[in-house]
Amino acid sequence: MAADFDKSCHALQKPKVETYCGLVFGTFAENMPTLSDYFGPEMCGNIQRLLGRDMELLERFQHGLDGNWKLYMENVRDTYHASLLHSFMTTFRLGRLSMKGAVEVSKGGLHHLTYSIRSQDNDQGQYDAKEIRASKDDYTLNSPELLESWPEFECGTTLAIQSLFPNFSIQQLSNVITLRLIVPKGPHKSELTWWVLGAREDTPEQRAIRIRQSNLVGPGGYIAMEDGAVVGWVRRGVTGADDKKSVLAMGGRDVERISESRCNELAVRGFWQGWHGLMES
Amino acid sequence: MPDNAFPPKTDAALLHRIDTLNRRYGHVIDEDQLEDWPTFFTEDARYMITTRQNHEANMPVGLILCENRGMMEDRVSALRVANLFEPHSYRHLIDPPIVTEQNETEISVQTSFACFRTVQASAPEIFCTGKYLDRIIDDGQVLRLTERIVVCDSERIDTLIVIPL
Repeated sequence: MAADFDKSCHALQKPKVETYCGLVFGTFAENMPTLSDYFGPEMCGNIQRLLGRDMELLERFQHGLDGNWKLYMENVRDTYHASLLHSFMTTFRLGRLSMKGAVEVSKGGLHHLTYSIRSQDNDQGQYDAKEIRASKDDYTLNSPELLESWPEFECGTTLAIQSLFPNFSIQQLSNVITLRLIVPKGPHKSELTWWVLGAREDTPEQRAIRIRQSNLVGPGGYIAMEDGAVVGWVRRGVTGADDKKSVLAMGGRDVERISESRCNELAVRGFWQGWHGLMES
Repeated sequence: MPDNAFPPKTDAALLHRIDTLNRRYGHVIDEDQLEDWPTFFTEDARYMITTRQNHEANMPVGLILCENRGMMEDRVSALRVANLFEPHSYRHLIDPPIVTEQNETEISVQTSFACFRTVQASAPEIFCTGKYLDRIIDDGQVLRLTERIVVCDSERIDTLIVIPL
């Protein structure tokens, strides 16, 4: 090596790394704020609620998706599709738009949290009247123990979907707690990693409930499998429509919380506003 | 080959019966006779699809986990009625079985398989290779699975898994 070669000028690029509730985040951005500033207080509150205790890994698997990573992250933020696409979810009242809940979007739009409380359902018969499509009344389970649950959180939240920009998501579906990380594998391919978690404080009965309920999530999940398919369908659908636009106007033009309702496009609009802001800067 | 290469030494007639069970099992899945799929199991049987990595780490959650026959029937009815996916079919290639343990009441069996998936007009693709880890009960007439753990070699599943393996 030449005498004037300075190894310190040729080091590997070092990411900035910070841990939050056991989750390790890394970034190559030089002026990155701390995680709690980046996420904001509402987002941090949900992460702490779900993961701010000693957790246990129950499974990890990879899920190949046939589309761009943004299609999946848009799906995570979209509050309409569950009632349209996941009939298992509406039929068994795991998540309905008529339940008490809200969409919270972080300042600038990048992150979101949508949640609902099953015990507070204001359904006026729209689901049974098929005004909201995907409910199937004549469909029952031979083994309803699949859906057994226990009230895990004092706030009563039974469904919480959270996205942390750019590619991470935390989810609570009854007592199933999952993490999802999506990694692009090219413009039209992406790969999702799922982690299914339990808490070390779980009783054997609670642990068994989590394990059984995990049939709801992942590539074979009663509720999640359609998200794996729909990414490819949307990719095929939008091919050739590069110059076309869609409108995300429900709930105004901004990303501020408008009411205790999830019938709006705040989170999807926030994602694209945040994305455009970053791409233009 | 020494006698202990595949312990224990198994009666050829029994091996043939297990092989027939596996072939019929693959047949009902590949031919879309899925309502018959749970009948290969005992009422309280356990069926789990997992990956090699998760299995070796003793992870308790499966990609699909049925703790009894009712949960298997629910998987089939959800596939018929509730879940949305693109029509597709499987083609199983199942190896001859290897009996790994045998006692008065139960036979433990390991069998390799490959499963091709064909989605509508697309070319068939290798969807999954792996092994069945089975516990089988013989009531003298019929062999039934009391446990089948499907261990996929890869930890990656493409798009979705709705039809059992």
